[in-house]
Amino acid sequence: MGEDATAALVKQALAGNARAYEVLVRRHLRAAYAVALAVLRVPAEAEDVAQEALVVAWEQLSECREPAAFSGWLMNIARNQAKNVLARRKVRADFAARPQGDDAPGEPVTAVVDARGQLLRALEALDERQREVVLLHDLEGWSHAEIAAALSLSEVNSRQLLFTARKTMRALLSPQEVAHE
Amino acid sequence: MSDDRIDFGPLDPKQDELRYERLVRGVMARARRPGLGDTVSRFGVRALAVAAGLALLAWVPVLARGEAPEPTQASSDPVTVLADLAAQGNAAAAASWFVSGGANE
Repeated sequence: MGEDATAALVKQALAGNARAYEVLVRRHLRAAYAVALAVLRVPAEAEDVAQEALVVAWEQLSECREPAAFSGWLMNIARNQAKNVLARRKVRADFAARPQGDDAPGEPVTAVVDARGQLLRALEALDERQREVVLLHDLEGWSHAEIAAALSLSEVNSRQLLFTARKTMRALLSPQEVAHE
Repeated sequence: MSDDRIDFGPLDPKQDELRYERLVRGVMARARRPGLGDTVSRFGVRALAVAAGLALLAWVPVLARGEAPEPTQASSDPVTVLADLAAQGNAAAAASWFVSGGANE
């Protein structure tokens, strides 16, 4: 979505037009999910965080100083929300890190063996920035210009991150995934 | 570049349209629902404004006559009654008292 269209919708939403905000939600929910997934690597948690980020964005919309930059502003909210969830998860993990029996649940990501699990495992090998770029580009379909604007990167940097991320993931994904494409 | 795209289909929430719709509706339902603090503050301010306006209107005839309310009639004094109702945030009772001309007293 162009910046002008986004800015117009943000202005309408600021005027109390919930319909306009719903359009923004439909167009940005998956991007917020992608950023949350880059941090958390657990799809269900990333969905919750994406929803939460969009609710927070609605409540704090008047603080979005540049309506045209709504996407980047929302991505920051999603990232911060995800990091809060990650911090809480670590606290719980530390608390639960006492000796347990063999039936203790392992890492959910490595335990899953289907295509979804393979993708998550391959994402684990990337750093957070690489995950954000590859998910926003290949999952959400953003251009490098959009990614650069939203993540405060240069387009060249975005391309480099995408190249490295794809190369790393390809090396880890099984031929099944390649055939699936 | 798009030829090299990683297929994130299994992780894409939009693959299941109904699920994605539920996610969107979940956001909108929460966004439209005011929080408890919002409700209390919004109602409180409105109730206070209504009660203050009514109290002011009730004062006008008294001021016009240049009379001071008698302390012994405090319980039936319109200003006192409305001020009490305002303090309680009971705008509905204040409005009904005013409309009935204090007949409930």
